[in-house]
Amino acid sequence: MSDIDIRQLSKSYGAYQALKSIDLHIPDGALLALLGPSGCGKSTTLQLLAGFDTPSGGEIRAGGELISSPQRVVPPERRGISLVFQNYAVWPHKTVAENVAFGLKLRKLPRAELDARLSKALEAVRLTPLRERYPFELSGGQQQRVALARALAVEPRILLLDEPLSNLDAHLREEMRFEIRRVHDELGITTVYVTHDQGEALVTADEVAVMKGGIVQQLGSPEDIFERPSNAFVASFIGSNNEIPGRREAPGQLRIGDTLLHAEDRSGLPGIGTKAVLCIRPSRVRLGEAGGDANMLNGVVRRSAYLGEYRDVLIEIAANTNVRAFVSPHIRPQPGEPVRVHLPPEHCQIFAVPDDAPAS
Amino acid sequence: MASSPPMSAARSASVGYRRHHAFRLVVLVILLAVLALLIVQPLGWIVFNSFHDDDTGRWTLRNYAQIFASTSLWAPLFNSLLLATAVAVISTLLGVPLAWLVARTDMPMRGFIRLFTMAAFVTPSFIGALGWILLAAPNSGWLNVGWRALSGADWPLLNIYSMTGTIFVCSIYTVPYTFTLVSSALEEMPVELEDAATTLGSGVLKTMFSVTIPLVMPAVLVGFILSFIQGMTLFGVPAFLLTPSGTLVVTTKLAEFYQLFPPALYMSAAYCMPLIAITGMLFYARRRILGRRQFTTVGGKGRAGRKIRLKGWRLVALVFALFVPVTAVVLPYVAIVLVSLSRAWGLGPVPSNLTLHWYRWAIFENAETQRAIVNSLVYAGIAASFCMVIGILVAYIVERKLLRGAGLLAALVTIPIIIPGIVLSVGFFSAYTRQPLNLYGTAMLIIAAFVATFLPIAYSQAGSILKGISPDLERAARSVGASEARTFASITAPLMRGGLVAGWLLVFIPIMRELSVAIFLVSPRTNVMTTLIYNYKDGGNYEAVCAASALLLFATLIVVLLARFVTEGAAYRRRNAASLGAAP
Repeated sequence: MSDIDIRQLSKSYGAYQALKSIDLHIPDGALLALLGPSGCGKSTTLQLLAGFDTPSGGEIRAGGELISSPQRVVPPERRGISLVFQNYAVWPHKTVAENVAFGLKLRKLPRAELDARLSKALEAVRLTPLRERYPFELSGGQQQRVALARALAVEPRILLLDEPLSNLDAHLREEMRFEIRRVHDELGITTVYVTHDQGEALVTADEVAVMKGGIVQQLGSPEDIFERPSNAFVASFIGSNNEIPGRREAPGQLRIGDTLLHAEDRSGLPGIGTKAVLCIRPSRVRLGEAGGDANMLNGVVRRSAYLGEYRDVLIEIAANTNVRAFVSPHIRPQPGEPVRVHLPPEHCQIFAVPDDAPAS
Repeated sequence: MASSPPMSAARSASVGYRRHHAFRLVVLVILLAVLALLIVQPLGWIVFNSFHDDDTGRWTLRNYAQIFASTSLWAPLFNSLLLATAVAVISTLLGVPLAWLVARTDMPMRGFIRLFTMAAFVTPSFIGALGWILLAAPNSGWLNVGWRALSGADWPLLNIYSMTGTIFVCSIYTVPYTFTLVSSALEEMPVELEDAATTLGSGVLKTMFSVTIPLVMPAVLVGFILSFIQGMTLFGVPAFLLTPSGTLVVTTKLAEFYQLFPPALYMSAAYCMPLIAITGMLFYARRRILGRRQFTTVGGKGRAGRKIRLKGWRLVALVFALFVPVTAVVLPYVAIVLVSLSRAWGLGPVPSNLTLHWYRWAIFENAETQRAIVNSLVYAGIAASFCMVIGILVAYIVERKLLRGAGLLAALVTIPIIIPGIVLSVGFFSAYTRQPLNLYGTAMLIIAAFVATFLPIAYSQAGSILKGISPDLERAARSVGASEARTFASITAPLMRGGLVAGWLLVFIPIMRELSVAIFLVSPRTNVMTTLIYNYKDGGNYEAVCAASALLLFATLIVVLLARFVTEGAAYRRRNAASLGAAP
């Protein structure tokens, strides 16, 4: 077991900067999710952690030991860091047991100990009955568990998971999320979990690092990330979100059309009169209710979709400005109908306009 | 706190790190040394020699000046260009429709035609030329004898000893290149692309001209280029069919330099240059065409069996499609086998003339043929093995980007593709028949030349096998503690095995039938089947030549069948691996 300390880590491929000096500390035994869209730098971080690539700057320490820097990279086989791949990478010419035992055989363990650890690893992922099967006789979920058992059998100090569930079907994916968390809780190995799926990150991780453009946008607990995003990108990447553009009149006040809205100001913007956005989750928007005078808007229903558990309603509140609301399915607003929209100030946050320009 | 254990772990890791890099460096140095000996050295000597005078040994530009000044040097170049152009045009005109008929229509006997076109592919063209001498030599050729008997004419119907005859023989053995390229492009093209046009109201012909043909055009162009290169670089066919009438092409002119005494080594080196320049340019063009537009469009799934109906044209199409199988395989094979079974081929194929004498002679009685058979098998076996070892190492380094110099290695092993066999023969002769490395007459020299010639095939074979193995399978082994070498041995090598055997056979087969590379390098002791057949033919003992040729054809066909068997096994395993998500 050991903690991971990443300091000012950067990686460039020619002129392209995949990582721009990131700092992360993962405490011993924690499960950190690296979450972000493709090209955000999360996979680069993982490759550097595993030792398959050399950083352009900064360093990585595991348990205090320097394992990666531009001058020196400890080769992958000497790091005690196991990796589970997106495409499983289960060796097709070895049985389940041979796959899992491979790393143990390299360590020249006594027969009895090897068998004991093999059985323990297979047991941990519930594969004991399938130990003599070849990978092509297994389902995707079972192959993924072989990959997990293989990584765990060598008792690594750190476990890396690279989008481990993205090749599974939706149903299995949900089940495996809990499975990964359960295995982590049993063994307590420091784990880094790379994913682009916010659901996976929220369910499995102790802490989530949201990345974009080679920069860590926010590091925090799943609740923090969802409830108190640090910018509009994080707010929109995690869960559904409304981004309503307006002009910041005063700290905590945003003008949209001729309405002044009140919100928690997290923009950090200096002056007033600058452009900013107001973010609110669609599930927090209320329709047709008298919620006091604050933050009430008049709108027209443009679209209404029934989704079983809730209704997804799109309301035009000004020219080219729409708000989405998830409301109880028994409310039935019709397209074209005028409606009162309430944005409770305690759920509204003001951010700087997201910088969507390509990272340079 | 616990600062000492991590410190020592770090130190041991750094020792491993250094050892690991030292290992890579050693492998790189050995590879570079081997490639320098196999490729840089022979080609270097060609360039060096081309600027020296044969009589005085001094630096000179005279050799090049002579190529432009002397008609006897100009004419073979012109003849080669004429031959190559004609071969490229004819094999495109034959090969493209043939590919379309086999891949896209309901013409009968498609399987038979595909099989026999492939048989033409593996038949050494100089043996085809031999068959056609038996069939269409002006006086004794069976077709001409038959023609005279039937028509009562006193002139021959066909004369194979002519430029027309040479173009014909070169073309029928070049068609398989165009055929393979175009038919696989047609087969790999997703059927949806044509269906999309059809659903928009486009008819069969309209779809063919507006969708199908533009999509396979790169394959057609590449086929044309490869055919042109074949026409430029073939040695055996013009040596058999054109040299007797005194007409020379570049390759046979090169051979003539070596028959002088002393051989005009330096002049021949300069004379290689136009050939290298032309093939180099054409391969560059091929690369450009393939690089710009990939004709192997996405989704190589097997086509649904919707074939274009030819209706009344089926028989006409079949007659056309049978042309290559009959002229390149059936007729010459029958001629060669019949002659090899005859006491004297002038007596004709009658029962009293039949004998197994020449086979008995070739296998049991004649030490020269015995030695050549053994040499062919042993040299091809050793050369194919070396080729694959170098090919795999380089492909592994390139595919997995292990070393900074990977691009240089890849370029080095690919260079021989633009060097015609006869030029490599000149190069190896120049480099290794002088002190301090005088290897003339040794098996090593011939094997080395074979290795150099077929490195590009071995490299591309190894590369495609490695592309089918996801690097993640190797990384998974590294991350649980296996070193690079251990990973290669436990994971990569076992996964490559099926493909390797097939790749080995795909190098072995062309080495078995290669003539031009060996031509200047063999001695009586190191003759291989091809060079022996070439030499015997001058002796005029056609029965013996045919028996030896039949043995070579037979051996090659067995190996081809074996290769097919193994390749299909490997393809099956690859499908399994792919279904595991192992292939990206």
